[in-house]
Amino acid sequence: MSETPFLTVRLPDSPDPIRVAVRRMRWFRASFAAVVDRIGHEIGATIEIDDAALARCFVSWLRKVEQINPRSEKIRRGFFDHAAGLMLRELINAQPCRIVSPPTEPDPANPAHFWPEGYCYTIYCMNVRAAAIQQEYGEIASAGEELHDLRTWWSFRENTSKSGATAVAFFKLFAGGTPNWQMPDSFNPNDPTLLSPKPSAPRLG
Amino acid sequence: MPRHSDPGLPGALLLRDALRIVRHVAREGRDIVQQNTSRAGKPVDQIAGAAIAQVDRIAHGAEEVAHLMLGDSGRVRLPATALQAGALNASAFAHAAYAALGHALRNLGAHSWLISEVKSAMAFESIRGTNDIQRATALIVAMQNHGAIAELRMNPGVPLSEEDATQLACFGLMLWMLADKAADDAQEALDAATALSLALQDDILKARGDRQAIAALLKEFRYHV
Repeated sequence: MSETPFLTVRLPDSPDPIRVAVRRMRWFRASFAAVVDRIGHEIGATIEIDDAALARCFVSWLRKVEQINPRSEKIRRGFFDHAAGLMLRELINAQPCRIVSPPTEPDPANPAHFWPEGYCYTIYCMNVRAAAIQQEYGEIASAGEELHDLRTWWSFRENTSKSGATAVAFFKLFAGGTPNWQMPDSFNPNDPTLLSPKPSAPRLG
Repeated sequence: MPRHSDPGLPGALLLRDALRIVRHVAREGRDIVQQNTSRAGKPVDQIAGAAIAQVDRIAHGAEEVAHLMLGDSGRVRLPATALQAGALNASAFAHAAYAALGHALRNLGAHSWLISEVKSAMAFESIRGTNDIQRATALIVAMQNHGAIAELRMNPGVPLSEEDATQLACFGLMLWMLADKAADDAQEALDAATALSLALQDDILKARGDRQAIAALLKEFRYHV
């Protein structure tokens, strides 16, 4: 599996580290709006954000993350990936984006055109994760090649419409990690793949 | 434009409340006349037209005086206040609460309201204790008991009762006051606090009257605004 770049968006400045800032509603809203705005511009679409749905997503995500939040340094790095995957799950469940006008020049082979809302959610989580692990561990994040593969996006959209939990596994795949398809949204601190991504597991149909 | 009243003077609170009542009554009167004349036919419509013009003049007059005296128009300028004991006096609290509650109520989908600085100050004077969470919790209850928000009317289609919106606005106000914020992001913090109140509405409304549950929610979210 090779690693590829992804659309990086400049996130708002914060006096706090990203891992703290993202747990503040103000920064969460501002950073999400920055990513959606950029993607709308990139694909020539107008995308609206439902603030109430976004706030519900934030509360739900925050409570889950605060509940798990591991103190052990050993598993903390892996939790960053998992927390970003949980955020994608909550965004897909809450659906805070609405396409007001579709891309002006549709490109059926481009995942961003195929499912603009899902692309916004995914790229947001990719960017926040990337910014956090760069700050905390000096790592430069890249993406798995599946992020650009339309067949994977078909599967992503279909599977998450049936079960939001699979979003966590797809996120790990998009981030170049090893998804857990059996129990995608449960965090296993003893998972040996947490710190060293391995080749991807088979995709869901 | 410089403010012509000192928020520290109780007389100024009374004057501001009085002006706001005049403005509120004038606006409401204009709305009622407008709503009712449209279905009354031509002769009534003509007479009512003159009445509306008169009421409009009163409303505009009240708004001009209120603007000159209160300076409360445009972007809400909110002081970055803390809720620790001794950090605020009753007048300063009431002044901040007035601006913040109006903004929060608008975010919650309210159409019109009347917020009393005098009653907010009385609510502040009625609470005791030094712990900021306990004080915030007591203020949520006291603001409602003193009727600091009155004449609340929600916009059509907003799925919140006036009573529930009052509870959410008071919770949002206190969450905002507890949150870390700088002067230049006070309004963003208030928007975030109101959005959190709305997202937490099931928990907040369930906690009505239960100080322990309200305190737990404030504690859970004060660092996440």
